[in-house]
Amino acid sequence: MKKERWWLCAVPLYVFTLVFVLGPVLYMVAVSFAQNEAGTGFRWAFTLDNFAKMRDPVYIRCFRESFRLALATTALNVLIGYPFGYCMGRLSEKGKRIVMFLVMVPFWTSSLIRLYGWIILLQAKGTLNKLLLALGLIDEPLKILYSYPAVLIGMVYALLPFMILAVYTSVEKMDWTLVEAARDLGASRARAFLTVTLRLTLPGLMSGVILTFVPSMGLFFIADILGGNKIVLVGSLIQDQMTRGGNQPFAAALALMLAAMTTLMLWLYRRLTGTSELEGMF
Amino acid sequence: METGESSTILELRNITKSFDGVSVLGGISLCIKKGEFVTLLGASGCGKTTTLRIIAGLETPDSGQVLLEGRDVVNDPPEKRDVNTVFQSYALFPHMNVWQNVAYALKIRGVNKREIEERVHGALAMVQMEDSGKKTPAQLSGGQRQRVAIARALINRPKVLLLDEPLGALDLQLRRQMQYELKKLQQQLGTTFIYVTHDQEEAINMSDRIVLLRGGAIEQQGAPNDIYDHPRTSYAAQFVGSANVLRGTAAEVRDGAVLLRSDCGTMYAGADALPVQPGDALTLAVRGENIGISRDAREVCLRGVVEANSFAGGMLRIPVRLCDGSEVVITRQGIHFDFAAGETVYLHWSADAAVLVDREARP
Repeated sequence: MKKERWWLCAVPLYVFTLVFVLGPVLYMVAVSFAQNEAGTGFRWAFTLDNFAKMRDPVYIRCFRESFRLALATTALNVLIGYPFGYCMGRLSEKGKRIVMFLVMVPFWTSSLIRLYGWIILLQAKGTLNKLLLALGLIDEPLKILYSYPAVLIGMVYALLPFMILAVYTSVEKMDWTLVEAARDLGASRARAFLTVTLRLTLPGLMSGVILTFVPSMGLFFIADILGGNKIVLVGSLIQDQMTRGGNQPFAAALALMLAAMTTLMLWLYRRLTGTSELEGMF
Repeated sequence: METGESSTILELRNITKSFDGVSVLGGISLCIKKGEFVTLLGASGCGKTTTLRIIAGLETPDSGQVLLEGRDVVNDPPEKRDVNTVFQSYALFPHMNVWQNVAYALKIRGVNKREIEERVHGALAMVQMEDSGKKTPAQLSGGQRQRVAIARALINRPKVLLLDEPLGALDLQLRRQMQYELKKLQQQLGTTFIYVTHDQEEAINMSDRIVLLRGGAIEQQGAPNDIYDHPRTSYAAQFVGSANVLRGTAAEVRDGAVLLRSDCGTMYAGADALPVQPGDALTLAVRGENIGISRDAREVCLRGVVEANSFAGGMLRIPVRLCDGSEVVITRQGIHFDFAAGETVYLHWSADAAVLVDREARP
């Protein structure tokens, strides 16, 4: 009989989740169908105007831009993060601990402060340009800051640890005898990697992709800080509508659309990669 | 006759290997004939698995040669060698089903679809797994995984099949059955098998030749009954025959028998080709089943006290403590034994039941 009461322990957690997670989401959905009233907030009257408004090319461009940036960020993270996580997983125990420490160190500082660090590095008279000028590789400073590349660098930088750790976790679990078996059966080093290692670390890579792609759709402060105001992402747009724009229903509708698109992307991705197993998720 | 020369399929010449400065193999040389079932037997850390991995190409020796059909393959990667391995953990690919696992080597080599179909079917039939092609390794029992691993390793028709303690993870009954099946398979195919184990029973049951390894060197090699009956060292006697090793001083040599004296009495050993002088310190090996036990002293016997007895694997093991503190283990078939723990007994055996060992110092 005692055993049956165990579920009671979970009740506070469910209540908390309902009130602070599901509640706000439902509220947001409701607000997205409400009517905006300039200056005074909104009125509870059902309308699809907020969604219709998104058909404006300005907003479509904004979604496209966000999407492009998220895809580029994720792709670069895969290209950098997979080899990094793979090599990390093959280090000695001591080596793993050291590299893990180095990967985690940035988390000890506020991400905002670290972004200002990037400004110092990338600005016209910044460290990078000084170095390149001194080496004679360029004749005049590169204008990286407040451009698309700067935003991309910032995004990749911010999300790379998640990719690395996701890949590392699955590489760590790899049974290397399987690679030996593949070699023994006639596979070259590259063939064994493609048919065995890559395939078996795919769940880690997939988690990494999701852990990078989802946040990069919403991370707007990086674009705000490193991109000046040239690049407007959906995230910035939502924030703008909430505050200065004073259009809460439209902000809610944008947020809902963003969530829907992200979910659709994830669903597509899982369908394409064929497997539903993900390292440390779901 | 020099027939051995022409039919040698694999030869190891002076293989040495050390890991982090610790020597694991100290110059192994070994010739293996075509179609032979050779077992590398030894305790853990003796270098048997390292030797196997060097043959497979998964490990590079520090020096020495690996000649496969007369050609040195030491610098060839594993995929270029005509040998295949059955791994201790089976190493079946978890993301492929049984059929795909077995077909892997053929697909890599670009064999055409119809031939793959045929050969995989044949290989699975050979190990009685033709109905399990669609199962994943996780759905198989230990014994079935073992069979798939064997089929996968044999599909390329390797010149030599390497087996690294393949039965280690199976229970006793299954292990005995698989020993029999493996041996039968090897005889049918005529493939050369090199088998690594620490289990003397496995080695004796299956091998044409046992190579006993100790500390990275060959302690003794020969046919199972040869090592069993004529161990050259006390280590070989203990490891292969589970024999008792006793020390004494030569007292007398007569009619092919040597009489030895020790603190606890006297005992016989068969004389060998090497001369024995009275007063020589000698070591003999005698197996438990050949030791007689009685309540009355005999002319030549050792005195001891029965310690206890235990029953295992259809055998009764009776340790007897001698006066110098050493232990002699007597074995008997069945479960009946007339002597109680604590009883004083006398042990004796005939000269041909005991062999002199450690006659030459180990190199």
